[in-house]
Amino acid sequence: MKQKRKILWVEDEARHDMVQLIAPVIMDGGYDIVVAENASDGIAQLLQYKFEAIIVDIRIPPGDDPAWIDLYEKSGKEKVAARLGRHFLYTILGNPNAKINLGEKRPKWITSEMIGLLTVETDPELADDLKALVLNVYYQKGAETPETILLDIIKEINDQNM
Amino acid sequence: MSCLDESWAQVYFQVAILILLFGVGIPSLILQTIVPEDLRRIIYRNWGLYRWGFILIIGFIFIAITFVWIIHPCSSKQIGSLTTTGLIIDQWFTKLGLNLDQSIAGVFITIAIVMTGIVWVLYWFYRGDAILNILKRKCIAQIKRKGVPDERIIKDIQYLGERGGTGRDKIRVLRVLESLAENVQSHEYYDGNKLGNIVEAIEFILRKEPDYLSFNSGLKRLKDIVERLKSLNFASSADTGSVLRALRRLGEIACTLEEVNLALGVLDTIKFVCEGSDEEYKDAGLAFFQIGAIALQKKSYLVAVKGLTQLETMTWPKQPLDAQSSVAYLGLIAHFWVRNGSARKKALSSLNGIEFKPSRLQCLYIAKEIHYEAARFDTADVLTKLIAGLP
Repeated sequence: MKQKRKILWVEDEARHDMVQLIAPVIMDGGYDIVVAENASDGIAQLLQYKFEAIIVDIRIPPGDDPAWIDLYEKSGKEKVAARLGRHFLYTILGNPNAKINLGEKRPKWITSEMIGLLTVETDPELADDLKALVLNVYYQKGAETPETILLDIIKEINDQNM
Repeated sequence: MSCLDESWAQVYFQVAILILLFGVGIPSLILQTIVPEDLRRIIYRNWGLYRWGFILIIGFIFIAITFVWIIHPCSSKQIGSLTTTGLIIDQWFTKLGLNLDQSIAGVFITIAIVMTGIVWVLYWFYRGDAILNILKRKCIAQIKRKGVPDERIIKDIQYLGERGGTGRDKIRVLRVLESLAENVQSHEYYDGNKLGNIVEAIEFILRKEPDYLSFNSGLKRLKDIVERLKSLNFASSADTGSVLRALRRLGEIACTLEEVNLALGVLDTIKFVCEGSDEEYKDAGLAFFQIGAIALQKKSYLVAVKGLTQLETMTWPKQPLDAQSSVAYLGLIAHFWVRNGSARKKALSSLNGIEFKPSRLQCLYIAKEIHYEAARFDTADVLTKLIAGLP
């Protein structure tokens, strides 16, 4: 048996409506998937562990970190308006546009190539962000989303990094 | 009529007693009607919480005296001179040109206003969060003195959490418990073995009518406790053990209730607890095994496979696995195996990827004995079937 590759999925519905997407990843046997249900938890996981792929949703809640709560409230106080996932990406990639800066604590191993987006936002809505952050792996979720989408994204990220 | 004859003294006495009875009776009545039963129990058990009651009674004594003073016959005859006594209320009455009867009516109105105020004060004072804050302050004071939380206060806080409904109320109580844990852990006497009561309280609150929000919040509190344990170099300690056992029981409950999302959260938290702490391997393994086995029983296959995956992740660095390290893993594999079909296929694919020492068969026999000795007869039995059925 190979050592399992560590994957982080930042998605607040990961254990609810989207729980069926986890099954193919677990059944594959090659991955150890960790769920973060909000921005604070996502950052905490990234500061603690090294992951080989990070999959992020754009509409995520802030969690209990005051900085993220503050940003959430300033950005509209609801997931759709705040779109904290964008800020999350800017922060973890250390982009100059980041509103929350991790400074020296930012994990240097995080690169654009290991990040995938799985969100309801359409491509044109995110075009500027995708370009600014050099993100290539993007999928839109909806009613027709296949159950293997998460596994597919992980595999695409793996291929991108090979 | 003289100023202080017998009949007036009797009136004073009756009025004073009446007001005192109101003063004691009405707050008690309010307490009975507006304060929920669970909060009353905490109030009765904590003498300090009565202090507002005492303040109110003293207030009523004061009102009684003022009342008697105002209806005193001398004052009715000498309203003018009373304005020089300095009593503001007399000045108001005089300015308004009121006579004695009107003054008494005014006093009653005053009492009604005061009573309304008392109801308001009692209502705000005896709200759940106000009482929770008092208990928190008392407990923190003790922690600062002795380094350990007061067991009785923790029980009271737990009681509030268990009966506090769902959602916000429970989360508030859980936050208080975490704040107490943080105080204990930051105390100079902390030795990694002082949080048993707090962890137990969190567990019991989460077990009572679990809902996703508060359950998740509780898991976060336990995670924070372990995070601090790790940073204090107590990753392997009695308190970590308490957290792991609490998580195992919570996972079992989540599986029994067929709450997949709660069970998945517990599995992730257990993984976080045991990561980086080799000493917790056995407890964590047992937790994954038991949660996985119950999930299989309930046909929550996703939870069961997740439990197995966590066991695989844990065991991977220990390969080749010896008998002691493979007890939990083989136990869960055997439960998969006896289910035939797809579950058996999963068991075989997992089993074929692991190396054992001295041999897989020997590890299986030892695992069977260990499960038998721990009175996990169903697991010992499925291991017997696995041994017999393996190619």
